[in-house]
Amino acid sequence: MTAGGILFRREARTAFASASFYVQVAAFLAASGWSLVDALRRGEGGFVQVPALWAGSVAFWLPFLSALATMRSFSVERASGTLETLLTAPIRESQVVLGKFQSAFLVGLAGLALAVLGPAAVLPRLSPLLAAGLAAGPLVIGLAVLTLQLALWTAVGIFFSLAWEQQAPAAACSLFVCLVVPLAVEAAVSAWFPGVSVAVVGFPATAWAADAASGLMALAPVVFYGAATWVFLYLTTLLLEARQIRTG
Amino acid sequence: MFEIRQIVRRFGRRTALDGVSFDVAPGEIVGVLGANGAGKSTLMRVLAAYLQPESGDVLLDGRSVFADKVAYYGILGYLPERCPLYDEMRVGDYLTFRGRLRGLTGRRTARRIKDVTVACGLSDVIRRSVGTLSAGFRRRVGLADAIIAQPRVLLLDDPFAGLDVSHAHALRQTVAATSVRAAVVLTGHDVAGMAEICTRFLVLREGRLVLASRAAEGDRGAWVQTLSRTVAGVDEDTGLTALPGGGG
Repeated sequence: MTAGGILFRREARTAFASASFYVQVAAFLAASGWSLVDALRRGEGGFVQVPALWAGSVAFWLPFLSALATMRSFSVERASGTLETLLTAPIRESQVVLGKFQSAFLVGLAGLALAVLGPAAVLPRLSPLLAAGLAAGPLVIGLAVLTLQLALWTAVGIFFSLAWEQQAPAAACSLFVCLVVPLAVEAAVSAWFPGVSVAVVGFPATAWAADAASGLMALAPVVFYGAATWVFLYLTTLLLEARQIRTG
Repeated sequence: MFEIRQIVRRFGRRTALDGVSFDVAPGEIVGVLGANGAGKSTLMRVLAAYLQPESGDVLLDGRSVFADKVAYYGILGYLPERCPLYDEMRVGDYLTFRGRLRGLTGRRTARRIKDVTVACGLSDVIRRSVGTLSAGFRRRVGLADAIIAQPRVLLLDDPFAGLDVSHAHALRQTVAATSVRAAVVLTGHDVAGMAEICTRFLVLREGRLVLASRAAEGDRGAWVQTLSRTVAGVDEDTGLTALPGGGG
């Protein structure tokens, strides 16, 4: 097993053994479940695409889950000093970043998987009519887009957990970039290029996930999320190398 | 041979290390002494290739350790001053993680854990959580981690700080046993204790090496007293072997 794999195993075991993991996932499921029920109520009597509503509900809360799952990644190591022993072990900075990223991503995937299983298990009992609209194909496509979004939010969270020694500012910065910046970009595009702007109300990531789960799958978001994830992981690696030089 | 050549390291305007040079042969234990803020921990971090010097180099067998840090870390054992450990892990799990991270196979790690457990007196606490250990046992775990992969270069930053007499004596014997195959550099304040195992002493003052002395063979008590006064800056004319060029 590679050094990165060994680090990933340790991180994942620590995450799944901690009570905070279960609290985070439970809070995420409760919030996204509440959003789904609210969306279903508001869509009552109209044409409702359940997978789209589900994907949109989950997409909004995904940055919160990522921020909580990643805020400890590097900040705790910095505060306790274990980063020094980690970086003087025979492991490359990129492997350290990947190991941390993969374990936090796994935590997010666990939350995402439960967020799919929840409605799939509950909805048939509550409303057979709505459950009939839970087609597997749109759900899988929506899940794929949500997984891409999760990768990006996790990479952003990892970056800020290294930038900050305290967990709260790391989580706050991560949420700011994942929630506020996309809205600001969307608003700027709408204001400056009205012809280009799409009829999207609210959080862009939510709209993309909902579109994908409705069958409107585009290549651009896939490329964007993949590239942006890579950029943030690369920046984290650079920051880690620089921190190694500057730490005094 | 472990060679330190004209190391200069600054933090802003403050020069932490100013032209530090010395050699350490395998089997040697070099003790670095100095008042708080003299530059001991910075020196150890540079020797561990954790900090990059502004100028100068650290060579092992004639090759710069900064040229291939990952390879160097594979033969380095390093205990930082704060002795950072993962509190949530059990001692045995922690040593397994560190051994595997240092490239040992599973079987070799298990064998080495048995060896270092005996050498560092950890048998009674091997199943306990690191977070529940006393400061003395934490130091022992840190030392066990540093020597688990049988390093060729062993760097120990203030390893006996805060230990009672029996703990400190036991750790000194472990370090002495390890030095058979390794070049050892350790820092500290307890001159008398360090004199039990160190073959040579260096005195740092404001980032400069001001004195070098071989361990006394005759009246050790008087020699320790003189060296202690030199470290404290009480005696300028100590009668100890001054380094050529003053700064080394």
